[in-house]
Amino acid sequence: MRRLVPAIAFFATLLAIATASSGFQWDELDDEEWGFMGSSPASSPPPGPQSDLARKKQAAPEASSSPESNKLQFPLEHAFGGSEFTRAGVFTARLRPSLRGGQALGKLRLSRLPLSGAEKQAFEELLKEDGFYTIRVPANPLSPGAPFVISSIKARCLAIANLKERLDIHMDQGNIIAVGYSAGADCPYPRELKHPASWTFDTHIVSKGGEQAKTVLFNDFGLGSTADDTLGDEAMAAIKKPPPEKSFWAKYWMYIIPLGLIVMNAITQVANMQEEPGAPAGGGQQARAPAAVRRR
Amino acid sequence: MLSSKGWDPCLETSFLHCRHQEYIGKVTHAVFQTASGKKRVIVATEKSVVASLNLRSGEIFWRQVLEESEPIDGLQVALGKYAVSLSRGGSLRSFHLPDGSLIWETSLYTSPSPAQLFLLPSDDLLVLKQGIVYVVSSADGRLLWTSDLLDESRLAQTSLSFEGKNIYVAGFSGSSLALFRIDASTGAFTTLKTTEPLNPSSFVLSSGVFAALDTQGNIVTGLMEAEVVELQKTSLATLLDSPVSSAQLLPDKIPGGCVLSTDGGSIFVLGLDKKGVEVLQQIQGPPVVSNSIVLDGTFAQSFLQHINSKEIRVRVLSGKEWIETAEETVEVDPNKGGVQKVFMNAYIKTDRSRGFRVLIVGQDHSLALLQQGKVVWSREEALASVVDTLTAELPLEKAGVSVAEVEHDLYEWLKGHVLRLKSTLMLATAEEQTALQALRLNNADKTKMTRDHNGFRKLIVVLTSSGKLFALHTGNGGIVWSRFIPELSTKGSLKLYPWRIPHKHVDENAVALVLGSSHDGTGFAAWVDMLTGSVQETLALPYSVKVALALPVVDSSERRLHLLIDDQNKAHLYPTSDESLSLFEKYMQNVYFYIADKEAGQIEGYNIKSQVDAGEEGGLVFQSQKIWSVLFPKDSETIAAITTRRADEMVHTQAKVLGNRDVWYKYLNKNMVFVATVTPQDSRVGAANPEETWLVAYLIDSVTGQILHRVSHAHAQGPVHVVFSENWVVYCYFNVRNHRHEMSVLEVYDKSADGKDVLQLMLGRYNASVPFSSFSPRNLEVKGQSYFFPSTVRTMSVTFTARGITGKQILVGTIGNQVIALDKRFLDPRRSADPTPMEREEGVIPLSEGLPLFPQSYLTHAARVEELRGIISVPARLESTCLVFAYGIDLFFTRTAPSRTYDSLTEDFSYALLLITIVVLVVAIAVSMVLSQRKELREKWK
Repeated sequence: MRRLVPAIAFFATLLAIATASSGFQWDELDDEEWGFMGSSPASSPPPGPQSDLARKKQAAPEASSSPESNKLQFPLEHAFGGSEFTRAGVFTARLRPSLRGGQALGKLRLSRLPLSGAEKQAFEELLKEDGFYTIRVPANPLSPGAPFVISSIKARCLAIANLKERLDIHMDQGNIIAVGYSAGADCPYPRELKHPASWTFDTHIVSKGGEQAKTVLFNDFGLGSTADDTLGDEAMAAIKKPPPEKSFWAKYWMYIIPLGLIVMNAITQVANMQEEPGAPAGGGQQARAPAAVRRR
Repeated sequence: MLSSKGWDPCLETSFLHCRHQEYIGKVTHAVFQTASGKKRVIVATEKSVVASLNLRSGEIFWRQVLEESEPIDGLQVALGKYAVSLSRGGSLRSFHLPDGSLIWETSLYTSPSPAQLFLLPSDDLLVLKQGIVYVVSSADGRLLWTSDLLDESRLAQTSLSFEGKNIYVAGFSGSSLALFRIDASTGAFTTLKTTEPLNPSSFVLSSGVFAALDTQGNIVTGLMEAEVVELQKTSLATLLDSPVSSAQLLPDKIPGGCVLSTDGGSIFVLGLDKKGVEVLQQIQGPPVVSNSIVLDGTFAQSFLQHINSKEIRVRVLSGKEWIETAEETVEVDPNKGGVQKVFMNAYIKTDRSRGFRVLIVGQDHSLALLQQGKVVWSREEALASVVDTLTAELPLEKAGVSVAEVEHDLYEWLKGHVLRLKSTLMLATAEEQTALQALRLNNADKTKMTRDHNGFRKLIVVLTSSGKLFALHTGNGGIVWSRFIPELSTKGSLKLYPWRIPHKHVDENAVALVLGSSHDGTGFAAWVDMLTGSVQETLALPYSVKVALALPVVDSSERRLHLLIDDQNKAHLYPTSDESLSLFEKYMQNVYFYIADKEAGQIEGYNIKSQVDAGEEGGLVFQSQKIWSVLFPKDSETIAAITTRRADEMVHTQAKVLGNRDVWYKYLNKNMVFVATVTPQDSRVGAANPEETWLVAYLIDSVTGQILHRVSHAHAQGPVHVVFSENWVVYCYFNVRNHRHEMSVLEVYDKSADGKDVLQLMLGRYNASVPFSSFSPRNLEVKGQSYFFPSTVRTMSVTFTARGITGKQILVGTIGNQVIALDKRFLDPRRSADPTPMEREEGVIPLSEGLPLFPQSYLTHAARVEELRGIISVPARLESTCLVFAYGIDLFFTRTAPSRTYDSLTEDFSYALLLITIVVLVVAIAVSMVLSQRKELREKWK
């Protein structure tokens, strides 16, 4: 039983990690896929014309989930520099049961409405004053309405990126915690005034679930962890690898060098003793020579 | 429960740089113990400390720190040898008077409701808690009897008195007054009836008589001896000989009397007895009334009144008369505010007459003893409740002007060096060692009021919850100045901001801005000179300050621009000059701030939009616009901690060179905010389900609201403590499944620059000197790792050094009230079980599941900073060293060198020894030169 519990825990952790990572990325939205909504969940129909789609969206209610399918729609709204929020597009998502209970959103798609004339004008105004273009989505798409999650970007940054936008949607069990709104290009300060080449938004959606942190690793066998119980002797031996054998010189250099020195010392001493009879004469000459130089 | 005795580890030889100061907090109860032996006063404080103070000097004999969450409701001295305290949770504890050791402890009840503690004439203890009476033997804490007067319904505002064998209790049951008589020996009680129902506005009970004020302006008295209490009504107007529109009976206890305050500002001392009520004394202006003491069979009490802000009049009322010899006028420090509490004690003077001494508690939480018309001693107990700190540089030393109070003379200097030399050569005797130690501690160099070369001498300006500011000198911990600002004492949240730190005009003083704001929607600002403590300007704000932002802009006189955000998210700019407006307008577009609402579980980001009309108040007011919001799901996440980087932090290098010669770039965004949320749950012990408790850590860019990183920890529970420095965050929480504390680290690296060569980086826009925009998306990489931490954390901080070159230490305040310095290298996310040789070369430590605590890493050594609440670190000018200030009930100051003091010699380095060695060497060289020359000469003559 004792061995079973950690094993189950390990398996559960593995499962949690695996599912957490599977609850991660649904990104990459191509323009062709925009006409996805309203169809059966099994297969996606061929994309319809975009104007048609736009009309459909304007007629659509605030948010709805069709009863027979597990699909959900909720609005994207925008404002120009603190103006009133107006409809900017519709998100469609698929509902699926969440790991931690409740429901989660998957397969997020956005269909953006084209900007109206007045909106284009407001955007131009924002470009001039370097103002904020603000978007908002309901924090709880399952029951849309207040509260909203708001995010903004400098309009000039959007223009520099030619209306290429990126939405990082951070979600937790069907709730939207935050929307990270960024332009598709670098936007260094000071921002230059540039007008967009076309008025169609190029949207890239990244939906982000939670990432789970690494747990503390039990590898300290001395600290009474559970590792001793779970691992067999062989595994323990494998982990406690013996250190690689050192070379002879690396092991004994500290003995060899002093020994060598002593030997050399002894040899020189012996050599000196042999020379000793003639030594005083030679020493006298050596001492005298520099003295003679100095006297000059 | 922790006790401490007067041993200070900072006086030990090896800990030269630390200072430890002990405090007790604002005194709420005091009992004098002067009968025999040591003269002492036993006090209980707001910080749940029971302490014994020396009555002669105010020093602490002993103190016991009880649970802070359970305030002390009562304090008595029983049997002449035990100090007994009653805590809010129903714990009755008895401490031995001479040494403070715990003799016995009894838990009477568990509900956290207020109660009163009385000493019965039989020397037993009586606890009255909302209509339940407990009588406890003071010898061993045994419960003698208990009676529930109202059968579990509550009695409010209870009052109690003794008369003979009986105990009388009165209190409100609903709106009517209930009266009881209890037999002191058995606990049998009788509910007393009155001749007519009583619904008074206020009442007092005194020696078996009660007095109450009814709504018709009458004072109703009754004797509580009979079963049915007969009521006597006296009109206040006839009693006081003047018409009274409103009056109140004060809760101050006077045996055989009561105190009545009227709307005219007068105070009447009334006598109560069998015959009825009479006026004993009339006092103009509100006095503070002390406890009563028995003097020759009658009761005596002292009354304190402020004549003006500097003088207090002390009078003693005995029976019906003032004692004329006891009337004194005492000069007090006007910087202490008004007197809030008085405790009186009588003594016999040398001429056999009677003298009185009073212990007063000031509005600034200070404690002082008045005797013989003088303040004998005073304690600054406000320092037990520090809420914020700042540091100020001392003025530069000017040539010709000696600012030091004590300069060394030559003899002293020489003596010191001789002593040091002896100590180094191990020749010093024990006396000489102590003399040397004293010399080192009281080194005048340390306490000079000027800047030193290493930047060790600074002023720590602390703001306390009482509204008093102190400047402490880092050299000896002494108070350089203190300033009480009465307006701040009523404000809830107090903060300090550096308003003006002069760099160009170095001879001018630094100024701090003190902000206080309260829930009623008002605030208060004061500008205080940090070197002298003088208040330059005060301003009552008609709004409460939610957030105060210090902008990175200063005006021509080096005043920093500050934005105060009010409750409507309008921004008020200070200073309100035209110059600051023009400076701010250039900068306005780039001002962003965020407001976190913990209750709503959201964080909102704002940008300054435009200037608006300030209206009547004047000043410079700006409208803000909301640009982003992050909303945490209420049912699964509540905000547990929010932390940002310190604005003045120095980072030495942006690059981190790895062992394999790779370079990683730290992501050093100053607008990054760390937010930790935890699963909401009820706080009951054991209520947490490990499977459903999560901690989610967020890194948010506070300009755009982008979530840069989000990571969740399973089985984690708060409280969460966070440290945020450079590009890393360390946070601590409790793991419910493993039943251990964990510390996690997140390090953020900017990978946008990958693949660029060094030249490109130097010239390009990826290096840290080029301004970067939060609106440009970056490619970030976040590394994380978790470790077990073997202690419970109270608070966390990190060391800061002058240039940011020195390694970092994480300063952890533990549950044992100590400060531990933990090397940041242990919290490296790149630690692995088997590091490669390259990683080893770089200094990566092999992975272990727990973080080590070495005995040497305790910065506080053996000292305990009771109820440790905060740790502040301040860089010295010396790069290796950082000054650490920890505060709780106690204050502690020390220096730490995270990577050893590689750039300086130790302070007590013996220059004399070095000098002597050099001199000896030079002499030896000279002598040997002469000798060798002679020898050479001799050789040549041969």
